[in-house]
Amino acid sequence: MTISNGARAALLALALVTNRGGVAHAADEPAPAIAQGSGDGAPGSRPWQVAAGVRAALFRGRGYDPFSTNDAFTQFSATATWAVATGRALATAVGVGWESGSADAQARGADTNLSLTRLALVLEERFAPRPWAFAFARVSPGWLRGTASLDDPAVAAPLRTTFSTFSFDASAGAAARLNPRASRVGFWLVGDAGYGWAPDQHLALAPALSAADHDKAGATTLADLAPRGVFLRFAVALAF
Amino acid sequence: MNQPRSPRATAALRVLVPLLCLGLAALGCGGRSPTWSAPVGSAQAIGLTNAVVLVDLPAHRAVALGVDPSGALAETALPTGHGVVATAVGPKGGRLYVLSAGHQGGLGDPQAEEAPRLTIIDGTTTPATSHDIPLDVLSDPLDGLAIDPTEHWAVVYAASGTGTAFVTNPNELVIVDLTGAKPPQPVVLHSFGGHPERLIFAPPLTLPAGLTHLLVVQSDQDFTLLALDDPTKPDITVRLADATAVTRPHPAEVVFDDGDPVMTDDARIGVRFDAQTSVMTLQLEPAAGPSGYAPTINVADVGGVPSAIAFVRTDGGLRLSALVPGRSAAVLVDPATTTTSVVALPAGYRSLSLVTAPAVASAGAAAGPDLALLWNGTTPLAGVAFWELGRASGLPFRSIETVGINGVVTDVRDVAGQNDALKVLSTSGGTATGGAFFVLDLGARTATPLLTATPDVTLSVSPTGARVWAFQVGGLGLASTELPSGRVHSLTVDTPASALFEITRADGGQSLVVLHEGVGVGATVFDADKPNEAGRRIYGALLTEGSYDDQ
Repeated sequence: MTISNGARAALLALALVTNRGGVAHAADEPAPAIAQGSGDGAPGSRPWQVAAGVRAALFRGRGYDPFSTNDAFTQFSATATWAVATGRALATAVGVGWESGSADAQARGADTNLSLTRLALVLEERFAPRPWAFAFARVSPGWLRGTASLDDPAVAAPLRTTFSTFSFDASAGAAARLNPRASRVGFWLVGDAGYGWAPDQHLALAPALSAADHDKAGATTLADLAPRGVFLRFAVALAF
Repeated sequence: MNQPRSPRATAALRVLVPLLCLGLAALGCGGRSPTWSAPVGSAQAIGLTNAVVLVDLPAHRAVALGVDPSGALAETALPTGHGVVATAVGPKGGRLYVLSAGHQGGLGDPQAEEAPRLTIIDGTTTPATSHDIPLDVLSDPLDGLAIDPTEHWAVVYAASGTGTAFVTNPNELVIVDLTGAKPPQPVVLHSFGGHPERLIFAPPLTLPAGLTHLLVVQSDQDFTLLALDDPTKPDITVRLADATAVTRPHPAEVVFDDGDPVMTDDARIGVRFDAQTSVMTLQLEPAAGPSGYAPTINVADVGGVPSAIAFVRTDGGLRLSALVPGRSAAVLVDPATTTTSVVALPAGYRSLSLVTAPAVASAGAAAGPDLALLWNGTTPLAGVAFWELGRASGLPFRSIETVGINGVVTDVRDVAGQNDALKVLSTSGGTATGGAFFVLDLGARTATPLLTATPDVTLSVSPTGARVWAFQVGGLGLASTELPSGRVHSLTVDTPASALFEITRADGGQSLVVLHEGVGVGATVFDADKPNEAGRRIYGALLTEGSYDDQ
């Protein structure tokens, strides 16, 4: 199981922040785009949020077994949203999300790899009971693209297949501000949990031959891959 | 200077950080069957009529590779028991028999108890199917398996030592009725101290009790004859040396003859021994007792150590022929009188095959005395020789006709179907850089040479008899030689070949499956009837498709 270099960088940043203890002070400011009375907590005062972190999902189906020794699948996750206040403690955000990651393992001695990339629309409702924290619910319809490969020296080329499909995420989470209110940029720790759904994918791996030899490639069918399951996502976010 | 942490922020972290830890711990849960981490290794590959079967020991299954009408490979996973100890292909070539020891679990063992069982994989259907015969009569697993030529019975026995059992009786056999008509029947042979070394199935013999299927259990010091039709009948033990003998002759070959099918007193068994100049015949004659027959033993000296024996029909009647390469001769033994007659041969031959039926059919002649093919000569120029046994008594010097073949014939393969008058001969000691094999026409008595680029070529005759395949293990080249025309089609595969099998497709056509061993198992499939590289299909990771849910 691996995650991209971007995800590693995000994890490193998260660790540094935690170690520094760079957390909020008594002079807190409101959550992004949520009004907290007058002044700089006005609606729309912090409409933009960009977040980067790690998403870890559980794929329980047997179709995932060739690609991982456990059921976990981790991805780098990036989100950009724009929010507008809809009430004293409420805001609605829209944006886009991009997640990418891969899993590696050995299946009966052969090296395998599964890569998944997801591009999605983000719709989020935020509730901020306190200026230093907010809770949110998110739905995210998206497009999932996957590549599965298996390297068997018994054939002249690695076995490979790709697929693309609709997917849908629903999650709920919370965020806490990590830096003082006086800062012009809010620095937030965001976590959410939910369920990501995508339909079963038929995995028929065939040697990746040239176009001229494409009709010579016979397919080896693995169990259907079910790229869905509960997930946890943690990110650090900048609000401005 | 760091400012003091807000109590609210601290509270938030106290919620989020444990959540993070719990989440990561949860993601570490779950897993897959250990079989996924077990390498494929060297999967045993067996060719059946309609499928190539890969025995996947770590996964406790067999994977049958069939070919659908479009020429695509179709995989069927069939479970076997745990602890496979023996496999055997049925003599008819359509079924694979897999004997598994099962599993005896201890306290806390998550794996369920499993009794020994025999799994029969039927490769005559598309897709292949399987069924099990439980062997609950075995408290401990036996590791030997033999299948009779009619595939009516299987015999399970102790092939090696004690295996995993604490105590084993090597003379215990289990007779399994493969039709399922009777439950497995354990039998304990009478023993004079020996233990079975080899099980030999006799062809149906006409005995006083009727047509009987005898099992000959060869031990290091005696023979036991057991009627498979009714294993409850007492077995008959034939001691190969008297009780005072210090040395015991070790049987090397056993042959049978039913005699006249309407007679019940002329079935015979012939035996030759390692490093002995004598041959033995046993005539099974009517006798009192539950078996209804008893063997009468005759012994004859053939003047040298024989290398092959066979019952043959000559112009003088039934004889036991013995090839004595040291004398460059064949000796005919009258089984009734033990008188011998010597037939001088142009060279010493070590092997003999009866080719009467195909040769007679090819010539359109009526059935008569036998025709034998002599091969495996003691010199490279010996080639093969036809031995007409219709002249063996009257004109023995005119009964031999040789066919010149450069090299020692090491193997003779039958050709099925309409080309059964042909034989494919493997040779050794051919050309300096390559090798050769020959297609022998029994009717015309000619041998067509086929030269190969390397000497270590493996031959495989098509089950239909339409062609013979040649390939080199680990090589990229292979060739089909059409029979009887001898036209050669050369083919190339993309990765080294480890084995090849011609099987019947679902639509009745023939396909060639070439296996490649790497980390997994790959295959290239050709249309055997119209072999060309453009139409091949390449498959990989053939044992990686499993779900392994049963682990």
